[in-house]
Amino acid sequence: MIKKILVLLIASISFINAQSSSAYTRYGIGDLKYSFSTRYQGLGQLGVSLQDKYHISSINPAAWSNFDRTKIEFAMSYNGVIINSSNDKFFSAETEVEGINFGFPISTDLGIGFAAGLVPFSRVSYQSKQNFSSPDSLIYNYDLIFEGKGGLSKIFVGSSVKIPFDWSLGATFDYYFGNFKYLSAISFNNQTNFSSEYNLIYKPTGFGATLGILSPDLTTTFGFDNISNLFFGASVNYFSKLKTDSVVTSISSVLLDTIAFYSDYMTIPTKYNFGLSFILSQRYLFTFDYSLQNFSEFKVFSKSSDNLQNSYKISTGFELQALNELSSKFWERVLWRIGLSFEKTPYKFSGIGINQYSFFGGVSLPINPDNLIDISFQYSKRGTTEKSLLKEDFIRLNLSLVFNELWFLRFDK
Amino acid sequence: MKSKKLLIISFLVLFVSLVSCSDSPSDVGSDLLGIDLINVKKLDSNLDSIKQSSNSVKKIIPLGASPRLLLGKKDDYTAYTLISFTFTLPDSIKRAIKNDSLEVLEAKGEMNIDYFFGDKNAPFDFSIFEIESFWNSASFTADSFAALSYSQTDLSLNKTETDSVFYFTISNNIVKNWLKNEVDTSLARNRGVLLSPKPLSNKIIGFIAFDPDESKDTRINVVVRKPGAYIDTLLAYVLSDVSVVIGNNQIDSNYITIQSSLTYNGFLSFDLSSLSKGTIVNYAQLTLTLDTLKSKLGDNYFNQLNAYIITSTDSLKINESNVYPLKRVGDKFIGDISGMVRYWISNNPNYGILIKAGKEIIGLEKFMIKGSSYPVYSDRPKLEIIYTKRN
Repeated sequence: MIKKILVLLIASISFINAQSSSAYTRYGIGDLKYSFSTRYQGLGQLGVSLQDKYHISSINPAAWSNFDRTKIEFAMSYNGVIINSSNDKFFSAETEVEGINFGFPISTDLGIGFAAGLVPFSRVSYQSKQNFSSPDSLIYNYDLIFEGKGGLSKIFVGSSVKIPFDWSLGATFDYYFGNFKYLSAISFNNQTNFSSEYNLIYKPTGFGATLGILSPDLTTTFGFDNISNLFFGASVNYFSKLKTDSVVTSISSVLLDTIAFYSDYMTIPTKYNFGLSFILSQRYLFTFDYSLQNFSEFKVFSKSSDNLQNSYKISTGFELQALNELSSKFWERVLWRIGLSFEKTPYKFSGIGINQYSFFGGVSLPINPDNLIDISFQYSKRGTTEKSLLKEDFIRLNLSLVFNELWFLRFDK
Repeated sequence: MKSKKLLIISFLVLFVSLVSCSDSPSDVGSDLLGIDLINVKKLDSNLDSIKQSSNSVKKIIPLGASPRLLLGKKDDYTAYTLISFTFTLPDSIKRAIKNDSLEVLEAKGEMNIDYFFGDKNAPFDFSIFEIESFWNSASFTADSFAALSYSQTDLSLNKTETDSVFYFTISNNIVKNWLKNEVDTSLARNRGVLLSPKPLSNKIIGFIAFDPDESKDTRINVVVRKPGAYIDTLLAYVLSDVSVVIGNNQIDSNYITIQSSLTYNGFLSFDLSSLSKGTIVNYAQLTLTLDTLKSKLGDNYFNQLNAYIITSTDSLKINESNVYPLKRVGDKFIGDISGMVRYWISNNPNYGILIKAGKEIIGLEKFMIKGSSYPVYSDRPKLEIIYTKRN
């Protein structure tokens, strides 16, 4: 019964017509998704250097070297946004399935972990409707509607391994696919005129790779007394040129016509991630991360955009570690976390870069010693209402179910 | 365990239900989407110097399917009617005819009037001639008329016209021949009669034509007698009927002449090469201006024109099932021809528009439409297209 309800709920999500961002996402590949895992969301979305007993890092595969259980993580999110212009504001929300990851250890001694998953990489989601009236009786009143949907998703498979000096190396083989649909439509308010729609659709597909490295615990190297689990991590996310089919169709109420069909490439710039984390006094985890991607190099069909700029993100997170004692009560086993980030987004309009400031919070609620419900909250603010731009206030709730099981494991006799 | 499952489901329900709080889309952010801008535009043939041309085309068609028979003479038009009659006879009558013992005492016909072209009170008279050659109402046209053979003896007598019925008496001999032919085709001929207007006629009358569901079509009441036995009345029904209208119009190149029955069609063409592929036609309206003074209309007519896509220049072929009606509004005929314009911009050849009278086989209405070279620019045929184009 519960399974049926879950299936029904998940299926219903795809029928909801809403939006989770603004017209900014018309440019480039839309809003970038930095992390899949709700835990990492709560720590500022990055967590490049985190070694994690429970979760699967999708940003640095080297972090899989300490897998000791089979892990399955399913995530979904609620995204609410208030979009402000200089004279109006608008609220919309959308629920999205964030994807599913699973991983398992192949050799804990050699740090060989395997993981695969399907995760979103970027998201386009906007709607706009303008009303016009014409003195011409044959035109009368009409609505001009813009809508953007879709994004880029990633299927990855990869593995990690321990290398000399206890460093960890990880790599994934990524397959990217997407569907960016940009609709422009006219809907007349009279009964005689047929509506019109133009759809520009990009369908990129192609391969990429992620290479990550994670240091051993550097605490002893630096000789800090009160600090433990000091890790440094880095990863690079490379994209081959994504072969992209582009179709422009016009649709009236009676005719569908393909106006143009092109096939060329989408160039997505390489993404670099760096992170440092440590635990203070055995209870307080701190993370510091940096990610950059030169979106000025982004091209579709060899054309770059004046509305894109090099982007980067700086984030920091704090997590109150759980007491891992058998006698711990439920609330003592709950992990609490907060994060802050500053992001220079890829968007730039009229010479003004769109910056985003975010606050994050989250908890991991143990269902039992190995399984968790992770919840994170994000409040972000970006943009400005100057020069006809938009200021956005985001509220995002992420929910993920994390299962750690002893499947596929071999035990010595 | 149950409470944990309940917790998970509660979160999922919360996530999904929160979305329903969204506002309806507004114009916030539209200024950033110029990249996808589409515009509603209007093309007006009278304002945008669209090249257009028009003329009139006479196209002879059979009028056999018309529910109205035309007869008379007005100006340069002469309308003739061909009718053949049949009977439903009882065996006793058939035997009497075979024995040549049946006499025709009187044959009085009545034709129900449903239309006048010209002054209702103008003089009208006609002759009835026996047709000698074969004719078929489905294919007989004005072009066939010259080859029609008929006797020169007027068989009509005692004609009387009321407001709604025209009575006539026809020669007993020809009716007797029809009766013989009904019994045995070798005994006599029945190729019907030609109703031909006399020169003094100055109007054209419309009569109700043969219709199996209509009791007001033309009938002849035939009084017969078998001497010493009985007197009876037989009813002669229309077996076949058709009208032809002979005549011509003086064509004025400033006008498009559209006339039913004669038959004149209008041809109209607009150069729409400025509408490129990818244009979406939201609405297209054709407006034609009627010259009410030059037009000649009957007392009872269908006030509409029909436009058709010309699919081939060969005899101005059209697809009869795709009709674009142009309705009368004041002195204009206005209609939605969006489908036609969409057809042209979808890479189909633009051979132009054929315009016919709304009911081209009924009546004799002559619609004089101001054409593409009419001196008053604003009265020329006007095509307005509302379209959308992506930048």
